[in-house]
Amino acid sequence: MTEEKRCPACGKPTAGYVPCPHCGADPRNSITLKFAAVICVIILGFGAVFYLAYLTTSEAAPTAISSIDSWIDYSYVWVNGVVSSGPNYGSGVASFEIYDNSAERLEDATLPVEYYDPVDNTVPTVGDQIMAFGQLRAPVGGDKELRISFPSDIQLTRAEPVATTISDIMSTWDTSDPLSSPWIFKRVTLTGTVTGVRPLSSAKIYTLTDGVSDIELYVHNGRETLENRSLGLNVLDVVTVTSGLSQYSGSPQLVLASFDELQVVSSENAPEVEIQSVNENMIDNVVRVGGKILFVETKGSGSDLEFSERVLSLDNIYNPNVSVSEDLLDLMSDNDKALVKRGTTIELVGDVQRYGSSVRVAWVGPQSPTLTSGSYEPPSVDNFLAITSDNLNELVTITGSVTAESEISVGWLPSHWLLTLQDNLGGSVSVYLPNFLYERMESPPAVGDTIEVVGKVTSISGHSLVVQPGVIDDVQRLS
Amino acid sequence: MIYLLYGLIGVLIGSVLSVLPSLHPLNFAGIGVFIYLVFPSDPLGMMMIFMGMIVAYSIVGTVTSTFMGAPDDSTVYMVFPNQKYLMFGRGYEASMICGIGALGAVLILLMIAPVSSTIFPIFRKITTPHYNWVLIGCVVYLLQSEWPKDFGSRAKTKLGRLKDGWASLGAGWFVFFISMMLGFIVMNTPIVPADRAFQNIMPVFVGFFAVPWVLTNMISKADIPPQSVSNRFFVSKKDMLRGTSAGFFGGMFAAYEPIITAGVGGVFAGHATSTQGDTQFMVSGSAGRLTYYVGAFFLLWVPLLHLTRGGMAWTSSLIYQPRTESDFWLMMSAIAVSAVFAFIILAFVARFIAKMVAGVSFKKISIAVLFVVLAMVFGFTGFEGLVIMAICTGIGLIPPMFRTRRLNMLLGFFFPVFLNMIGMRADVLKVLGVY
Repeated sequence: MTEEKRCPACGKPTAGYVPCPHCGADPRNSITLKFAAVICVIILGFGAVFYLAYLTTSEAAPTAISSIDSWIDYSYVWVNGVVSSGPNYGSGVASFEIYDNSAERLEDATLPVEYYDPVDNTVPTVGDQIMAFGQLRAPVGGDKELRISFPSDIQLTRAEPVATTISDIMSTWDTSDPLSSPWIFKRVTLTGTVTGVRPLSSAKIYTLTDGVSDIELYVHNGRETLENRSLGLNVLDVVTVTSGLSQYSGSPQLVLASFDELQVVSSENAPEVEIQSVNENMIDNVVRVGGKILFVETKGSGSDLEFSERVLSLDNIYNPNVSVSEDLLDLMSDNDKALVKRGTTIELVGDVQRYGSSVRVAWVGPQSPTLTSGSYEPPSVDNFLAITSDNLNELVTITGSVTAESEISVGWLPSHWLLTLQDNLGGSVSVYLPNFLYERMESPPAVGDTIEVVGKVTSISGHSLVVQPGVIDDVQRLS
Repeated sequence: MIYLLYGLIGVLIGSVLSVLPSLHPLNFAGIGVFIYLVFPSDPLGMMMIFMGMIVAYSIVGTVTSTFMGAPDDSTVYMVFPNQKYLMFGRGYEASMICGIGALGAVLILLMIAPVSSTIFPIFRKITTPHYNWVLIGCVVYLLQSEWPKDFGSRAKTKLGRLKDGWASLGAGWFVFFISMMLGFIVMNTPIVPADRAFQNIMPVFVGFFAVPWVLTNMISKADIPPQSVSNRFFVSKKDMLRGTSAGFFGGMFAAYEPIITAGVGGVFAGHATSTQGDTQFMVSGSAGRLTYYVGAFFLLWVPLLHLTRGGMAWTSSLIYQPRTESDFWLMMSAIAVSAVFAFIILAFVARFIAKMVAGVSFKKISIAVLFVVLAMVFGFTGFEGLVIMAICTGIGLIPPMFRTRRLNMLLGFFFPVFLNMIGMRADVLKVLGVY
């Protein structure tokens, strides 16, 4: 029982019952607005303290790369470190890597970064100190990656270049522990001579030498698109490069971030040598050779239907051959590439190499060989029975009708083909079409066709003499 | 200080929007992003406005829940006592008790703020690999924990009693299933016009909760009695403490765990802490609601955690992502000031409405609310949105008809998101023919 006769909450008579039989209010337990006011004051007190904390803390706290795990997938984080590779360019994105020294192993402390819609002067280069903010991707079992969307999310301290030499870098480099090198992820300026190029699908890797040591120079193809020009280097150019020093598989690699960072100082000349004079004493020397292309022989990779290289016979089939890897050939313009054919006179720079028991000249890149169009037709053989082992490695032109065809199985790859070609006199000879040529022919020769073949007399395992064309155009269907 | 002012502006905007029935914080965020795109401004300031809006929704929005009966998923399980209070003339008191509960939740949030950057990352590291089975457990628990309803008459046959027993439970499962189907369709096919896609969930929420509630109000023909406006609220400090802490845990669980909403978290917290009585129920509900919405936004700002949870956080993170510890402290400070400001607004708005609402026909209010709801859905999502809303209304009427949980709708609707998280989305969509 209570003194209140009416419920203070709903106003209805309670007949002295507590709590109110109508609304359930219990007047013995109540709070007032003062209670709420006290809570408000406490909350405002917290607010004031936190505002003070806001005024006194401003440093961004970076996340250690080695601590990144799938549990923070999709988080927005700061990462602080040195740019360790890149930039590479894709469609609307520049990618690079940051190393932050948070783990002993290089790969544990390295984070790939994708920078979307990059503004050129904010794209980091190897050696720059960087503080970057972005969204982290670290899916379970997937690759880590930081995604940056705005230029303002990158704070850069550009690296100052230090002059050095290729020899100095290489003499202090330990491929098993690249982090121990004093030059790693530093920006350096050095001079070297271009001695070669290795084209990849997304980049070109040039080799520079100072006469004592070699070093690789990585140039991403996206840079060409961005600058709308080619680097225009030639073999034996002497260049001065200012770039960051990264590493790939433990080996040092200069990374060119801008074409302006490379200047051609001069060019060395390779000694001119007659192709027939090339001999073992010149092995490992770079020479300039020339001559008329008598035959172009295409080599397949063996593991697929791709070409691996082409072998050129200059002036005489008994002269040392010139080999050109398909990758280097692809660096040429389409017009120049089309001229690398039978009859063209060519002048090029190559490296003399041992090849089995003989020597040959390996085309080195980058270069733009001198090419003069011409023609050459090997001697025609009317009587196929006249082709004997005495003619091994000779070039011939033969015309006849296909009377039979057979396959030579090569495992899971398409077969090579052996055509029997009959002349007008009733004699016959086999024409060997490797799969990498046969599969590229729009309409391969078949039984009943009359064809003309330019090829080299050779032998293949399990068969007698065959005539093997060098390129697709060496096989012409006449009817 | 300008950022605190941005927060207060957000509270004012959020207060106005909160009083409008049918709007959900996701709609707030969509509107906010739209405003930002039209009038680009300081992104951090915009985030403060968003925060103010969500705080206002969590505090001032209790007025809508109490006086206008247009609940969303987070208010639906607490609105029954609020409605009861309203019918006893204690609507103002109910609103203020809820507001104080929400303030309590803000206080706990501020108290854990200094240690949040330590405990939450650890918690996240531990729990992340276990999201999948935790979520499955939550769904199973919610579906299985519903008790058969007593319809007041005992069937004579065993089969009849079995049928009665499973009537509400079966309806609950059915609602879960068709909501899931709806979720697959709505979240994977462009039904709402592309230029309004940021509001594509709005008609679903309105159809699930607001319209069925308005319709049942219209049928009830109840008139609102005169409302008492007093500064004395009949709730014990113990109930306040217990309700606030239970609500905070439930809300934070929902804020932290993907897919789980405030209502689901509230049920878990209520079961876990044996919440009893209307006042504890109301307090825990409002505390849970604030913790769910503001807490989810708060998690985005915790240094070295950066956990994006909740529609407001996901949407607003398109504009700005917290970068430094000072951002976090600024946000905490703004939450504190905004919460107090929102509570003051609540007090005035609740007092004003309590005086205005007496004698007004509940039916007339409901009709007015229905028109507002229809106008807003049409305005934001067009005719297509009205169609979705109508379909969802049909689903939303099932729970009150069969006395099953409305939460099953939410759980089912968001279940496709869970399937997406575990990599089964494409397979299910192929089966449904929408992929």
